[in-house]
Amino acid sequence: MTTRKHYLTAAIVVVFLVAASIAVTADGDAFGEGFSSFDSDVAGGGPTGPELSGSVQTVLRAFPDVNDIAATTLEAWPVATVRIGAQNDYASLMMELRFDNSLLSVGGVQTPGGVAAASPVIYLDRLVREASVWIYGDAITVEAGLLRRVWGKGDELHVVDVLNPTDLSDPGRVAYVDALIPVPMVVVEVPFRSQGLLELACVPYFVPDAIVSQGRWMPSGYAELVALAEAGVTLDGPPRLRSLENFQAGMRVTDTFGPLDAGLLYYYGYLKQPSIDLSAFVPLPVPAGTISLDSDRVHVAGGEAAAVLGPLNLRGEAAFYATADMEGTDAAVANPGVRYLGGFDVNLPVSSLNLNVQVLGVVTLGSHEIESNGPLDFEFDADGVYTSHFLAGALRDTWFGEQLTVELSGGWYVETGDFVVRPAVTLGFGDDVQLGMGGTFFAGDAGTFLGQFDANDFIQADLTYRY
Amino acid sequence: MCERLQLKRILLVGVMLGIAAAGVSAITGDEVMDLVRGRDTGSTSHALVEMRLVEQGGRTSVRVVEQYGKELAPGVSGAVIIFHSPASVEGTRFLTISHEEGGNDQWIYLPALKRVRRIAASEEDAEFMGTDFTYSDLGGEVIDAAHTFLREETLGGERTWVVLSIPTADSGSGYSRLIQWVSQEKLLPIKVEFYDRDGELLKINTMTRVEQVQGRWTVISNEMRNVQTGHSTTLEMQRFVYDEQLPDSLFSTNFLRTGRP
Repeated sequence: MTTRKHYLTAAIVVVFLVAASIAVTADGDAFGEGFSSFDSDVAGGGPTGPELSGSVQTVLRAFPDVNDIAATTLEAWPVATVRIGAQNDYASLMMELRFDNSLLSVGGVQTPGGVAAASPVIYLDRLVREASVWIYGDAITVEAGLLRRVWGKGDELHVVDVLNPTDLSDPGRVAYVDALIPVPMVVVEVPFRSQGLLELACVPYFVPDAIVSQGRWMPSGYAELVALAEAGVTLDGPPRLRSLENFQAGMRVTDTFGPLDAGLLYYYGYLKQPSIDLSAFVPLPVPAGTISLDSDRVHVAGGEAAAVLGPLNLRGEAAFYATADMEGTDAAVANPGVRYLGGFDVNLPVSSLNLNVQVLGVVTLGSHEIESNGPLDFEFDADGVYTSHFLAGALRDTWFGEQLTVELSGGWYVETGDFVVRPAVTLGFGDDVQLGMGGTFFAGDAGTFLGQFDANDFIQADLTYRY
Repeated sequence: MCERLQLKRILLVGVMLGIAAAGVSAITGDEVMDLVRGRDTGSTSHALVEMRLVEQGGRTSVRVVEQYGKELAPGVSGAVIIFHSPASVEGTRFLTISHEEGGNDQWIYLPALKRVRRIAASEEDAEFMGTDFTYSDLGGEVIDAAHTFLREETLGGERTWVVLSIPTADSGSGYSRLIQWVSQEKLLPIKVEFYDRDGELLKINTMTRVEQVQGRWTVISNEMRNVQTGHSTTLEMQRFVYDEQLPDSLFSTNFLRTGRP
């Protein structure tokens, strides 16, 4: 790292420390104007000791074998979450722990050729889903800890949510937030005007997306790498990027203008999935050589907006991803690209029926250069397709005071034709107990993102108690 | 704020004097609603509310919410609802910014999604968190409506003006009409009937207890009953305070997300 980079990193750390100190020295009358709450659980209600909440869930998942029902594979596991919170007039803390089968899985989660399966960091990330301290000042707020922070206006789909990596180990998991991997982070918030907010975020080191290295949810691309390694090819990397020079920083400004909520953001960090250097790889006649994996730096500049237009709830995000290979000529570095998301939801005049439609697009720039590099460019596509569009939809209705919810959701990759369909029924028993039943069905060619899981269709039932 | 309150009082006195001079029967629907709007509701309000959701079979679930209200600027008011219990909805926060000219802006924060979501007009007729209130009910009175005085009537021992309110086509209301029984003494509706788009009676909101709080008539408990489903929601004020100093930042999407003004 150059001296200049050291100064930049140090300067950012100093800025955050100064900001934090401002917040800490703010006096106890943090909210001014005598704001108070009748309930001790909320701000202004006075100090509270540790308070517990959470849930206990039992999940039963079946992978039906249509040719031999008796051979249907069953999986069952419990999930317990514990949420601990405490607060006083100028600070609060929150910690969420999650206990599930992934903590005990043999092999665990790892990145291709990278972090060892038994890494305690991986286990900590999966056990501690969030651990944060908020410090509230007159003009700013600081949040620090192991955080999951969602940026963007999309509904469970984003192109500007850049701070947290994603846990791709369970495609059956539906909730977007549940798939986010918490990472150490400091966020300074500066409110302005009545609804405006400036967020400055710093992530001290890099954690990539997580995938499973074995079992039915192992991606086909990873399986190919494993097969090559078994054939004698050396897999190198990606490197463990946990030093200060691997910091990431982001800035986001959001505000409301009448019926429009809008925001701008900038992020300097990493692409969450690795690039692959095939220059030292010899595919024929016998696979040999070295395949190197690396994580590419990226600058992301983007915008987001949500607006009400008549009955429609519109939302959109767009971002330019600038990588170190702006010309697109380096076969081992990701090309720059444009990503965008647009969609709406609307309540239909039938029961409480809600229709939600979104499309997420990715355009890889410099496709001509990729074609010139040929198959040794890890972004090379044999069909010459360098765009991806994912169309997602959901139709949802509720009855009996939201005690019964029926939802049909799904997604379709336009260019490759693979898709997933998820029917789901949720039945509430009072406020605390909920029974969920549903299924996830994949279809598509084996080489496609969803089609690779064609044999993994499953149905699932879960019973949840919240306390 | 004080000047505006003063203006409201002057208008109220003016309307009352006009009614007295012209004879009570001459009052119009608009004048009744002006009286309702013009009554003194304080600069802010703050309530702790027990919400009981009662199914047709009698099974009841209880939710505890806290409500804040404030006039943020002339013609602009803010309202926040915070769910404290049960665990399934704890931390859910709802914000309405009402504009006398231009309708409501509404957002909801669902902690499970970690996201503040704007409520579209098409959702305003949807049930609010499983209650018998819709999002638009929480936005307050249907301002964009034509009000017609129907008659005087004694209801529960109180003299009332009965007013028919028909939302305009542009209001986006999910109701075809409302009939309101406005107490002549308390200047607030003590019963409201809501009719669906087919003209059928849908819900009845009955103020079951109205008391003076800090010298102002205040609804302490009411029941919203859906006559088509048999489901009902009762609201019981556990505590109520007017004229607290509340920061404007309480009525912001940032508060929804953090729980701190």
